[in-house]
Amino acid sequence: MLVRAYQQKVYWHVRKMVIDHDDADDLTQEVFIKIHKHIETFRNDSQLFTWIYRIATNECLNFLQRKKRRFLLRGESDLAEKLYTSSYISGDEVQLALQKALLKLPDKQRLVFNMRYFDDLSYEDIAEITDTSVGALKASYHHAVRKIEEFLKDH
Amino acid sequence: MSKLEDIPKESIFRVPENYFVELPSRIQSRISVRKKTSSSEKHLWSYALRYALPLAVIAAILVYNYYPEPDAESILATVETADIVQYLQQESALTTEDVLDNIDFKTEDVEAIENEVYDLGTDANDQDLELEFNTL
Repeated sequence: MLVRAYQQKVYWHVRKMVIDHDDADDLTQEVFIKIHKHIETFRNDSQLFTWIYRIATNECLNFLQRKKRRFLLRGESDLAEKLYTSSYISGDEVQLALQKALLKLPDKQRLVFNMRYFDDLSYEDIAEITDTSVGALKASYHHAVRKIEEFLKDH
Repeated sequence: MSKLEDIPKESIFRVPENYFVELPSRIQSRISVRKKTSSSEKHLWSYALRYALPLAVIAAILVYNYYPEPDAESILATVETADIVQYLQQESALTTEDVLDNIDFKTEDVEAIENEVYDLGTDANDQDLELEFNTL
């Protein structure tokens, strides 16, 4: 029931971060296994969807950290390569350029940008998910937009 | 095109056909496998606590009683006299004061040493002692 209700939100959140479908599939399953294991610790004072997003966000960041360590800091170029080599990706040049620009951002800033720009989450919800202040998130988002637009101008 | 607002908000990512139809059952089967594994681990621990732990405790008690810890005298008896003499010769820095500082003499020990030094029997009394002094 919980899986059916949240699987798409979790999957797309993860997929935008890890790019590759197989990686996103593995992580989505891990997220729901963790949710199942820790559902008793869920406190009703936080919304269920922000709690789930938080678990998914942590899984993504840990995965990307592990990947960077394994490929000796090749993280961003490895993900950029996947934009062209992975299955289940199709978009025009402009969309691909936007994704390449996003991959230039630090992982946490990319997360904030994705949640605000693509998922239309409020700053308050993102603050709860990332345990960051709303002010810091707004600054981070505007920095991200500026960097993306600079990248797009040059490419 | 350098403005973000000029780019249509579209996702470039796709999923295999029926992916979201099949995903819940795949997750459910992984959760079931984990439940079974964790349940059999619990059984293993329960058996270990019920049978293996009492057996281990009994075995430890038996071993402890069968091989009692040797006392200081029996350990000392295993050391050769020649080794003790050699040790005492090497430890020339050891003074009588050091010995007195480190050994907690009991009254009986002191009396025993006195008797041995003055060659008295254990039932020696003051008269014997006086006699001993007079003969010196």
